[in-house]
Amino acid sequence: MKKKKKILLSNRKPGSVLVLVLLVVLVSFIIGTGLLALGTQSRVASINQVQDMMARSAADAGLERAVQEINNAVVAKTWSAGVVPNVSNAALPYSDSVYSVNTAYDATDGYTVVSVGTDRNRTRTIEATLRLKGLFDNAIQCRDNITLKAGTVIDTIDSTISMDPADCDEKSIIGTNSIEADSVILNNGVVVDGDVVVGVGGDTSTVIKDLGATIDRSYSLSTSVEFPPVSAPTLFGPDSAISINTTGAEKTIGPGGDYPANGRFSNISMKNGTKLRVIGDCTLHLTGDVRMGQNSEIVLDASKNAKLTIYLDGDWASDNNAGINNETSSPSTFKLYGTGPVGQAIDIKAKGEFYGVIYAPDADLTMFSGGDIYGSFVTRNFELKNPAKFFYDASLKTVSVYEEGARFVVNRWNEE
Amino acid sequence: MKRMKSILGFTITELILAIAISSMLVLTIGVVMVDTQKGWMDSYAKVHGGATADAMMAKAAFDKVIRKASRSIYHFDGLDDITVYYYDNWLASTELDRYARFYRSTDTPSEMYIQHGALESGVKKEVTAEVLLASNVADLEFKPVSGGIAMKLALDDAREATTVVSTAILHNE
Repeated sequence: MKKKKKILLSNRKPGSVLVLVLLVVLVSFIIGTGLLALGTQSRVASINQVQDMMARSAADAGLERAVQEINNAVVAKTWSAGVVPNVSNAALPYSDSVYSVNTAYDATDGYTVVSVGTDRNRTRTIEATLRLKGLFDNAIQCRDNITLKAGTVIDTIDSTISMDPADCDEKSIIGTNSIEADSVILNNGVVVDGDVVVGVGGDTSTVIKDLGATIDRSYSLSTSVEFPPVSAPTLFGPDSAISINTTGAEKTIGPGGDYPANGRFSNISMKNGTKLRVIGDCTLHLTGDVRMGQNSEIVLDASKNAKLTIYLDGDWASDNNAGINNETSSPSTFKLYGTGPVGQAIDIKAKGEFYGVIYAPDADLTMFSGGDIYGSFVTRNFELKNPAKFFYDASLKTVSVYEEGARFVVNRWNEE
Repeated sequence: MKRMKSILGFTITELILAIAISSMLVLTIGVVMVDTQKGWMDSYAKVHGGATADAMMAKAAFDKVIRKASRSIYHFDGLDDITVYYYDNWLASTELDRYARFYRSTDTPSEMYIQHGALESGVKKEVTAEVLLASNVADLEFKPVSGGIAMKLALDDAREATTVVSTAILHNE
């Protein structure tokens, strides 16, 4: 028996357990290495993706900064061709990313901005050209409601070419930022030779109440239309009223007139049948209201190269047959800026044709014109009381950097 | 004889115990092996393909096209079908002359495509390319946000389910 036991013991091969252990270690090593490689690849892909996003954000920030710096100079009235923001390796806050901006300005081509964003070894480059944008890009633009009387026609002219819509290829646009139902009421027979646009995400079929209008297209905005704030320039006095109290009387405003060309007045008050004749280039800041009695008239005298710009803090009320008579026949010569609070009421009339622009983003504007309307209106709410032909003047899109509300916006954009 | 039995044989209790312990060991090792393989396959799918990779590819395409599209106009044709417009040459093109349509196939709702085409005076012309962006689409939704467009894409290929949400700003006029 002892012999047998010895034989059994001697049959166990020495080192067999070691082989098994090595085999297990090898398999574990292969699996571990594979998982590690996969994990590393996954991590590298994630890191690259995040770095790409950060580099892109940095490049975007560079462009935004350049545009902001340029527009700050425009608003501050300190803009010149020398305003060309250039930045090198500026840090994007709360990140390791940096951006560099190279801006060039050319009187013909305008601004070109190149922004390079970098996050570690990833880089994104954005190029953009900028254009000047004014306050009057659309025929009628409102925050909330637009109501057009039956038979109204919206078309476009270019006053630098002619006052005939047949000479202008541009389409007119009327729009609202609102997405509420029935914000745009187009009564029967309204014709819009162009588009009707509604607020971001709005359903055109509910926002536009179409009672038999003819329009080209309707769609929702991709970006809410901005209404830049406008404030009256600093004008010193006389702080008195422009008042014409005798029926049938006429007074003048402008160089050598009864009232100075530029000034801050408390209000305008016109009795029935009176006239206020504008002679020359006038800018008024009215801290109160405008009241026009029956048959009263504000005349922009073409023979005197009249221009009238009004910053109105109060309301504007017009009695029957009162109105603005712009003899210059140029929409850009009459500008009304509503600087009052929300709910400012502006009721404008014109005996014949109306030429002018109105920017009153917090006002409710009602318009009654005896003839055609030429210009552009930007308000909170707008109602056209009579079936007029409304011609948007496409030349209003061409603005100078010194005009009210002008600012640079991205025109063309490219990413590499 | 008694001695030999105690050396060379096993009692039934010993055998049962040995089998039980062995079974537990084999089961444990088996579970670990299966888990390891599943983990491997999942990881491999995440890195080299599958729902996550598809979703990231679709997101990248969406971001790239939407960012260069015009902010002036775009069109929705249902929640899962959007057309945007862009310039073929960002400086030389005088008008929007290209369109891109992201949509979920009506024939195969589990597939998301991007279609590029020419545009002339606002009218769609020939299709220049049509690419499958993602398979196994469980949900696709586009939504306008101020200044841009948001996309929610959910993919589910049975092995893994993933949802990506992306918002891109429209930069061109």
